[in-house]
Formats: sequence, C-alpha cells, structure tokens
Amino acid sequence: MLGCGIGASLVIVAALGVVIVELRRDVGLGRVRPARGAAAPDAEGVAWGYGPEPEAEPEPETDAEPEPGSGPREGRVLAALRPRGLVLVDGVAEPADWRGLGEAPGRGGAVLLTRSAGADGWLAWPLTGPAAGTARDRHAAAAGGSDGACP
Amino acid sequence: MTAGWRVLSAAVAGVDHARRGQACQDSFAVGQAHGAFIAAVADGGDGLRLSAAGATFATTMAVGAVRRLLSAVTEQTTRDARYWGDLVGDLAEGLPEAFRRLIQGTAYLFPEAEARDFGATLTLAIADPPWLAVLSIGDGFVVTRSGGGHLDLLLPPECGGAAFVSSPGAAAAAHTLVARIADLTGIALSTNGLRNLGLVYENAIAQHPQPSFFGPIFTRADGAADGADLLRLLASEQVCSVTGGDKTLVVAVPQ
Repeated sequence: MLGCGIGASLVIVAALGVVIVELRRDVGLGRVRPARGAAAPDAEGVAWGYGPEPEAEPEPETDAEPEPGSGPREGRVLAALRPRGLVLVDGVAEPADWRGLGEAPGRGGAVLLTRSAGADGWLAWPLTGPAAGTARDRHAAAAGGSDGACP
Repeated sequence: MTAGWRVLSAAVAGVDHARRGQACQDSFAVGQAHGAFIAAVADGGDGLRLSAAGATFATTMAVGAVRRLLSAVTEQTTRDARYWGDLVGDLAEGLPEAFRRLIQGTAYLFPEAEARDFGATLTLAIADPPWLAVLSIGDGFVVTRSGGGHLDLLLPPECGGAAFVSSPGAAAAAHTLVARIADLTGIALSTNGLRNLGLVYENAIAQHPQPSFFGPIFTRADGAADGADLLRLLASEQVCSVTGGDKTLVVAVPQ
C-alpha cells in the first residue's frame, strides 16, 4: 500500500499513534478554488506506442442557439473543452461540451452554459462581453496571473 | 482494502537519485471508507534530509484523516457539493497543522530535525462517484477519465516553487476542488515527476492529459495489470530517459 521507504513506513506507524488530527469544520464551498497553471516542462509529452490512442471525439460545432432547459449560467473553463472538458459553475467542476464555432476559450475563460433537463453535463457557448475568454487571449490571460496562469 | 475499485500504483526513484544511490522520496497511499475511494501521493523535496519520511507521513496521515471524517457520516448526511466542499476545506485547514504535530511527535526518532526537513507536497483525491473531491499542496496533478475514455486535467501542477505540507503557509497554499462527473470511469494522481510525459503543454501551460500516456495506463487498470506492471513502466528507459526526478502514479478505476 505504501510507496517508497519501508523504514519510513515503520516510523510512521509509531508516530501516528501520538497524533490526533483536529480538523475544523467551519469552511464552506468558498474553499473550493479553481485549479491553477503549470510550470514549463522540459520536453513535450511522448507517445509511447504501447497502446492505441483513444478515438477522437466528434466536433459538434454549430452556430445554433443554446438549447432551452435550465437557465443559462456563466461558468469558467477548468479543463480544456476539446470539445468536451470541465467547467467550474457554482463552485463545482462539471463536464461540458463546447458548442460554439471555432476554438473554445482556454482555462479560466468564461463561457455561457445551458443544460437540458435531466442531462448530466452542460453545453458551453461563447459568452460575449468583457468577461469572455477567447482562444486568442488565453495566453495573455495566463501571463496576467489568472486561472491556469504560470508566471 | 479498496473494494469496488481496481488500483494500479507505483513510485520509482528518479534517475538522478538512483545514480547517487538515493532512495525514492515520493510516497503514496490508498484507502477506502464508507464507499469512497481515497488516494494520496506526495513528493519529498529535493535536498531535504527527511523528505522521504515527510512524504510517507503526508500520504498516510491524509488518508487516515479522510477515513476519520467520513466515519462521521450518518444516514442523514447528504453527500452533496457542500458536503464535499466542506470536507476538503477542513482537510486543507487541518492537515498542515496535523502534519506539524506529527513531526513533533517524532522528535525522539528524529532529534534536531526541523519541520522544513520533512518538506513534501501532497495531492489527495476522494472519489465517491459522481463526486470527486481533490486537494493539492504543491505540484502534483490529477487526471480524470470519463465515459469511454475522455481525459481531463482536473487539477494541473502548481507553478514555480512547490509548497510543502510543512510550509508555514501550507493551508493558504492548498488548492481544493469538488467535481461532479456522472460518467467518471477513472482517476489518476501523480507527482510532478510525470508531468513532462503525462501532460500536453502549450506556451508553458499544461493544457490537457497526454492521451498516448494516460489512455493505455487506464486501459491497463481496467484489465488484469497489477502494480508491478506500472512499476516496470515507470522504471523503463523509455520513461526515465525523459524524467529526472522521482515519479509516482496512482490510477484507480471503478469496477
């Protein structure tokens, strides 16, 4: 079960016996914070070739209007919408499918979200206005220290 | 131990450490309580003389703390977004202090040691589908698989210098997140040693998981592979030729 350090494991068995973890329960959803960016890698990811890559998902790009259902909400991109990804809405990360034309906003970008009744995920649409993120300004936003940024 | 989940996990010393005769300073732990699967990985800080012990302390303590918190659940408890948000918030507040107390409790074993000697990151995930709550102090990262194989980078690695559980500002540096993924089919926690392989970067920003790396690993977890299989992969020349540091990976798929 434990990783490195059998000796350290023995130590912790003894040490854990003297510690009482006191955890306060006075923090609500405000503690849920968006994910953050990453440091530069030394190299790009490497294709290993010991298994097939997952099939590419279809591109459901459309210029249709958002579907009716639960009222439109504004959310933030948490995991890249390619076209599926994750958005942060009301402090919770949930799946979403990008339905806009072109590339979706990057991490931290704002999107309009709609959900059909009974659906498990959201449909993400472009959000016009100053709060909107675009693929073009993704890196500019990142450089400014917003979500996903890496100085 | 982890009924309902198939788990692959391994920690391998980095090439740099191995060639200096140093042991792996990463650690991982997994557990289960009240139907939830718990996993933690930690990366002991380079150059810190007790960081391996710190990593083991961090992962073991974190999984134990989650077990205790989940044991307080009653039939009347609704496990909703607020519940999971409160839980990981409590952990973010409480784990650093508990870690410092743990170190104080080991003074006999580690005389003259200071808290910073035990510096280690911590990445923790609690999965109770559709809910997934994560906490990270430092530069570990979390990947999710959903549906037939879609991969998301739920929690990317921290920028710059990694915070440690032992750091004075650890609670403030902790990142927490609650996800609701109805078709969750797998989670992976990693220390930063695998970020170059497991993540795709654009302009120095981690964008998404590398499908050719995580896809086959999740597939192995679906099948009959065991931890030794993952260990062989992480220790392979293929992997070690492009990663210098220690690397730890826990992959779990619901059965």
